Amino acid sequence: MKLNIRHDTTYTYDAPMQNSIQYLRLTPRNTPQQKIQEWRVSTPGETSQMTDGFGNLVTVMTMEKTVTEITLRAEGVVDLTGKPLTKDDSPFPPEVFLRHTPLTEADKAIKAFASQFSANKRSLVRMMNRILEHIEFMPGVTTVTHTAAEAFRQKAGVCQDHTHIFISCCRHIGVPVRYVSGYIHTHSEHHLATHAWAEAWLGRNWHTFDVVNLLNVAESHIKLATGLDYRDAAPVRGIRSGGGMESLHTRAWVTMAGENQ
Amino acid sequence: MLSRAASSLFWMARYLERAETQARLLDVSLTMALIDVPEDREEQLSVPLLVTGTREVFDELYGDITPQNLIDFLLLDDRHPASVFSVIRSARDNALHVRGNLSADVWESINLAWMELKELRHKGVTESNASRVFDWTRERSHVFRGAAYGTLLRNDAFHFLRLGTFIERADTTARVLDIRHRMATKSLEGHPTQSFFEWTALLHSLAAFEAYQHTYGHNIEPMNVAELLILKPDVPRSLHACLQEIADLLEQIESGEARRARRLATSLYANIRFGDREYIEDRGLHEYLTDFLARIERISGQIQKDYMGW
Amino acid sequence: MVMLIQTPPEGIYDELFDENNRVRPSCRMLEDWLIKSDEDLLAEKRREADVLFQRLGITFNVYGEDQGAERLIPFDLIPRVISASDWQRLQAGLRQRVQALNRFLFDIYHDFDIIRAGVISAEQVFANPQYQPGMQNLKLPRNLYSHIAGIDLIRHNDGDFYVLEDNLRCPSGVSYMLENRRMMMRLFPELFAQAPVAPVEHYPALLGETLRAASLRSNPTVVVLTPGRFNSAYFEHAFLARQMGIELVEGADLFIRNNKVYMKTTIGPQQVDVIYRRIDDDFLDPLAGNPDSMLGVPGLYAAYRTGNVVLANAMGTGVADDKAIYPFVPEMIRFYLGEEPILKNVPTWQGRKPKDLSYILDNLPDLVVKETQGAGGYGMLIGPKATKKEISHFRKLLKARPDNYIAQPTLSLSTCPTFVEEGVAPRHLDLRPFVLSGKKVQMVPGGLTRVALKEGSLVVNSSQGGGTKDTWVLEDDQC
Repeated sequence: MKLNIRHDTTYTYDAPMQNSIQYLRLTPRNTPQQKIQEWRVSTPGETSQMTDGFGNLVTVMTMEKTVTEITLRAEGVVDLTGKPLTKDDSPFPPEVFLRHTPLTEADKAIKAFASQFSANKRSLVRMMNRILEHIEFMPGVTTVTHTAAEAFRQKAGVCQDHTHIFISCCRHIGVPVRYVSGYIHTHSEHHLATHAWAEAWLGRNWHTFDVVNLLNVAESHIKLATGLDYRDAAPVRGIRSGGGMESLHTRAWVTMAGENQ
Repeated sequence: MLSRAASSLFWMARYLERAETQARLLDVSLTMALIDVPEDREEQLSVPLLVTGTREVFDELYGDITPQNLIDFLLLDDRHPASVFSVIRSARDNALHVRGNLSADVWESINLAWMELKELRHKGVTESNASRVFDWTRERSHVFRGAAYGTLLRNDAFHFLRLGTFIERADTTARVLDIRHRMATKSLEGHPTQSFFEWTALLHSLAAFEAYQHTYGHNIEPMNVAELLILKPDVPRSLHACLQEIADLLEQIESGEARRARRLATSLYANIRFGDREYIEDRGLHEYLTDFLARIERISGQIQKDYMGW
Repeated sequence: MVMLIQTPPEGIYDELFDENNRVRPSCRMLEDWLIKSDEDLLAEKRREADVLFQRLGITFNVYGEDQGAERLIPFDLIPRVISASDWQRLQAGLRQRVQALNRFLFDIYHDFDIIRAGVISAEQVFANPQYQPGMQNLKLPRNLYSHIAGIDLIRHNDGDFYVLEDNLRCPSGVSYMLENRRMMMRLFPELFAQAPVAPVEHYPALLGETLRAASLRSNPTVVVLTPGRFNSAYFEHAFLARQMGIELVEGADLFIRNNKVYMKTTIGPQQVDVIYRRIDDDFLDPLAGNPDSMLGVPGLYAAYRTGNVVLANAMGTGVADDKAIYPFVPEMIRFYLGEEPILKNVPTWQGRKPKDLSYILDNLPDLVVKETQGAGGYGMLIGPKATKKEISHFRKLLKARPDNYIAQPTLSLSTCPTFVEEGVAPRHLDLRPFVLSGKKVQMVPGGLTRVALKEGSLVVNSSQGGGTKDTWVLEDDQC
């Protein structure tokens, strides 16, 4: 399945922003599951590239001029092959992904919840279902700094929170699991095309767990970056001086080649 | 060198120079207040406040202008950012920032001053022992300059440090001259003897009394004083001497694209170097000094923009 | 006045006296001096030293106190002497140990050989809080991670040195080693005329050489990165920068452009090749670590990953100096170097091994039990000093979570005569040599000797009343 992707991120500032540097994980890698046919990241600043410890491709953008708005665009064409995940697509042994981070640390409530499940696919699918029942999908009630435990208490959040909770539970019961950020192709108009899901290691292979969509296969997912949590895999992470209040606007389109955007 | 280090060195030297100035001004004011007629005593005592523009802060914190209040305010009060205590603390703070650029001797001279001052403050200073503290301040200042002169490599660190000293000094000379000159001219109308003391006080505040006598003899003439403190290159605190140093130092500092501070300083230097007393008289001393102060302020700002403005 | 010198308690190794309370041959020159000096003279010299240290500003800042609070670390006038032959062995052992630790760090950030070989479990490395996944597959010049290591050693009853702890992150204290020597030479020049004390003054030169060798560029620009003047070790950062003749920078003095690091100078941006950083991993780059960090440089991680700058020490070295990894260092030496360890580890039993666990449970009253993730003396049982109730409590804890605990015998630290209120009395001490890895592994003879000033105390930390001494390594044992 060939997909066209366009992803715009616009920051506007209510005061002149003088200086900024951003780590952009906006470039998908070629894997057996996804073949990158065209890809381009455009930014208003100077850019250079790096590969982080997880093997993600990172564009480093610096801006040394004064502006009140920044627009970042990632666009291209990716062919999804439909092949299953393979076992050695990461520079690490799976055990690395048992590591908790401040965002995934399990509290009492999560531990109690997670203990009902065990390290096999059927049980984890049940867990995924129960998480979605428990945590309502509700944009705007959490931010990128919310931890799994906070979102779990709040019983509401977005895909990133669902994924963090899933990860927190898996690690608690000894299942290595990683955070994935990327895009998803859906037929629903309302759904955001930027997305987050999890991949868990079950003894022999990695398995997809897209909690929000209750999907167990990544047939329409384009992977941008992986890591221990959102912070490692965030599509955009930056810092600036000046600028006053910031507002962020993200739009993404994923369409089948030939479809209209 | 690091921009931040240059800035710290510049300010460290300015603060140390300021400490010395504060002590000299207060010293002279206290002495003058004893000589002065009672009704003018308060005016005498307020000179250091006028020079540093801190009259309002003082009124708020103390109210009454008494010698002891002035001693507390100008020497020891940590609520007053320009007290000797505060400026030496700021100097040491800046020195700590650039310890990597200072010789052990320079660092120790500042650190020791700070330690001794804390002790002095703890014991308290009264009118009767104040003069010992003034002497101490001057000595500390001399030790610092001696250590800097004798032990620092002649690189940009040294140059920025010296720039701080001379910018502060030029600024002080112009301010003291302006205020004392006004007071002396005022008393010239009523009490000629009083006026003589005013001029003497002015010269003492700027450590130029001997220089005056050496150059002009005992007879104190207002325009001679102005000429001495503005135009004479061989008087260490004259505007001419300060500007010559500033222009020289900016010439020696390694600069990439930076040109503006150098241009401003060279132009003000030329102005003084080729100036004469008739020109100053025609313009009026007060107007002349007001203009000078604005220009030295601009040079100081431009130095910070050119070399430290990151 | 004749000075009273207390002799050490029985069964404890003393650095000056042997078991018959005779002065050791290596310390003969101190004997005369100590006997001739009286308490008043020593007291006077100590006051002189205090004043000099204050003036130099060799102080450390105490957190939580007001900004002006700066304290001196007590300096003891009586040096600690190490014989030439002891040092030879120590030096060989330290070199071996640091080499193995660097090999270990390279391995766990590349191919995981030691984990695959089953010597160390994956969990022990990857679950370690100090492990940095961001370091994976980063190629570093000479494969060096810990360019500067501080190894804490103690001398036990048997007269042998044991490694207590490895410090591979930002070990501090070397400035005290240097200033203590300077102070001793100033106060007692005559002593140095008699004793063949090996010099330590070239440490800054060696450190500079090591840092330049950390980059493959010719004539690299090296800087010291400090958290700033309120940091407790700021004095040392400034001291080392000045001694090496390089810039002392704070995070705000640096910026990143095109994945390169520049410092802001009076003539514009200047590229930086090596950063001797005295800031913890998590604070180096807010875009890679702690997002709230104001101390670091945004973008520094990218410059590091792309090989445009070298950090000394590398990120992620803390995993190798952790309590849970410590018991494996002798195995590492065998695994990577194929050699037998020269320096001993303190024997450590691991709760996670069934055989060790039963030994621990059988010998609780004689052992020190520590939590692997615990720090600062929390979650610790000191068997000989514990009540029956405490011991039975720990027995339960150990049975419930054996993985969380290790146990060690209670070691006694050696003592050395120290000038205290009561006169000259034995006090316990340790030793931290500083090992530099560049083109080769080098160190200056000696290190920092820390001494517990309270009678009977084994705590040498400066935050808890510890002091320091000058450390004399003899160049020759024959005189």
